[in-house]
This record gives sequence, structure tokens and C-alpha cells, in this order.
Amino acid sequence: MSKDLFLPLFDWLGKAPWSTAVADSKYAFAVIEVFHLFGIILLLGGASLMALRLAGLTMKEQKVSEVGRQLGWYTFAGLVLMLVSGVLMLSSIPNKYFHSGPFWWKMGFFWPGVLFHFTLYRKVTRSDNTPYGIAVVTAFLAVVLWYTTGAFGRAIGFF
Amino acid sequence: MSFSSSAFMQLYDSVNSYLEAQCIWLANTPGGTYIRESIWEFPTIEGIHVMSIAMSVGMILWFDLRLLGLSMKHRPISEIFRGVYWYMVGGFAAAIISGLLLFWAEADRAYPNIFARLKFLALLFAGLNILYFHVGTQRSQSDWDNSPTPPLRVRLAGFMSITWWVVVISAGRLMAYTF
Repeated sequence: MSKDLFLPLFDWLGKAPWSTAVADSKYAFAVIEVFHLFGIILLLGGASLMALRLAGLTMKEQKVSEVGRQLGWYTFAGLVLMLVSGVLMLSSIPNKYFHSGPFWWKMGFFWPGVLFHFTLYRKVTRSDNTPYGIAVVTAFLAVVLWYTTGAFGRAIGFF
Repeated sequence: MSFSSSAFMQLYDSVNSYLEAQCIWLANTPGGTYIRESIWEFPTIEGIHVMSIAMSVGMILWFDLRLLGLSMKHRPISEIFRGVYWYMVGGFAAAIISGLLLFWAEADRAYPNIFARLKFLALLFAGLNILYFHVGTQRSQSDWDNSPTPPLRVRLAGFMSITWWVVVISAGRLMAYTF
């Protein structure tokens, strides 16, 4: 899939009213990036604890569905915070992101991550009778998808 | 006698220039230069630093939210603590080791930076908050361990913890913009 397919989207984001607002402000980008980090803490922190519980490594006194219910909204809030702040950052310098290798790698893990989050992960974290093997695979996928997304995200600043 | 020539200011100036010289020396040791000028090592360490912060602060957050009575409120506080403790410690160890390596490489630029100073100060206060909670507040834990909404001083400890980590993370990110 050629990334040129996404060129109209990048053009549109670059011309959006919020794009110039972020690009023209001296501090907006840095402040938005801090909120992006808060989103990461919520999402990765929630997914990490959930993954540990799925693998049976912690909080075994609580049912999987109980932990899932307690963490679910915070994790979801983290995802929304990341997405909104991420779109704002992208809109302010679409050219940089379009030509960044790590950005496309990041998207290659992020969108499958979102799909996984609302399908398999959602189902497994709401159930108490998932076979252990499937629970472990779900835990592994959550950690790999989100931490790799994060690592490639950090790499955008360097490469 | 003017303020700048007071004994306090002289002491401040000498401590300041001593620490500054140490930081410049540290950044220019072979190890510091190696990390700073590397193509892969520096970004890799930085990546590990951010991911281990997500792991450690992401774990301590659940304990803080429990202290606040905002998550898992029907489970004992001690149980939530046991559940996150070792993963939190592991994440912190990775964050501290990677952070020290980054500081080694950029000590000369970090020393005068206002956000770097703010980050270290907030880390100190986060540590004091934990210490105060541990030696003081926690002594009466048996009274509120099972309480869905613990007493104010316990909730305050959770709130202060989240506050200090927000400052640590914000200042940490902003210092990289101002180097």
C-alpha cells in the first residue's frame, strides 16, 4: 500500500483551522505532546496491568472481568487522549510525519492495536472463562502492540 | 552590603559553579560523549526511558487511584499494593538506569535547564510523599485498608503522588524542547 494514498488526508489536516493554531503557537506543540504522554501512561499502564492479570501474574484475588471493568474506562480515556493529541500534532506539521519512516511503522502497529483493543481484547477482558492459552496470547499482543507503537512514536523525534 | 555579595550568595555561587563544572566534566567523559554522539544508542535509551516510565507510573497510578477511592474501591488497599509493587519497582529501576545514562550524556545542558531542575525537584517531592506515607500515614492502615473511600489524608497522598508524577513527566518532556 502506497503511503501516497493518504496524501489528501495529510493535505486536509494541514489546512484545518486547528493546524495553523498549533503551528503558530510557540508552546502548543510541547503542551499537546505532554498530554499525549499522559494518554500513553493511561493506555500502556492499563494494558500492562490487564496483561499481567490475564497471564495470571498479579491480582489473582480479582476476577479478570472485575479488573477489566475497573481499568476499562481509564484505558479508553488514554486512547482518546492519545488520538486527539496525536491528530493535533500531526496536523501542525503533516509534511514531517508523511516523510518519517518511524511514523508509518507506528501507524502499522497503532491501528491493528485499536482493532485488537475493541475486538479480542474487549472480549477476553470481559469474560472469566477464556482458556488460559488465549488469555496469554491476548496479553502478549496487548503488550507488543502498544509498547511497539510507543517506541516507534518516540523514534519519530529522532529519525 | 549589597545582596549579591552576601555570604549566602557567595556560598550559592560557589556551590553552583562547582556543580556546573562537575556536570560539564561528566558530559565530556568518554562514556558521556559516546552516548551523546551515538546514532542508535541515545534514541534507544530514550525509548527505554519513556516506555519504563509508562510501566512504572502506569502501575503506581492504579495504587494512587485506589487510595483516592476512584478505582478497585471494593478491594483492600494492601492487595492492590501487592499487585502492582514489583512491576512498579522494575519499571522504576529501568527508568532510573536509562535516565542516569541520558543525564551522563547531557549533564552540561541539563544542569542550567529550568525544566530539568523542576523535574529533579518534583522527583524529590514524589520521594518525600512516599516516605511520609510509609512512615506516617500507613501506620493506621488497618483502620482504612478495606475502606472504599479512605480518610482524607490517605486520599491526599494519592492525589499528591499523581500531581508529582504529572510534574515529573511534563518537565521531563519540556526539558528536551529547551536543550
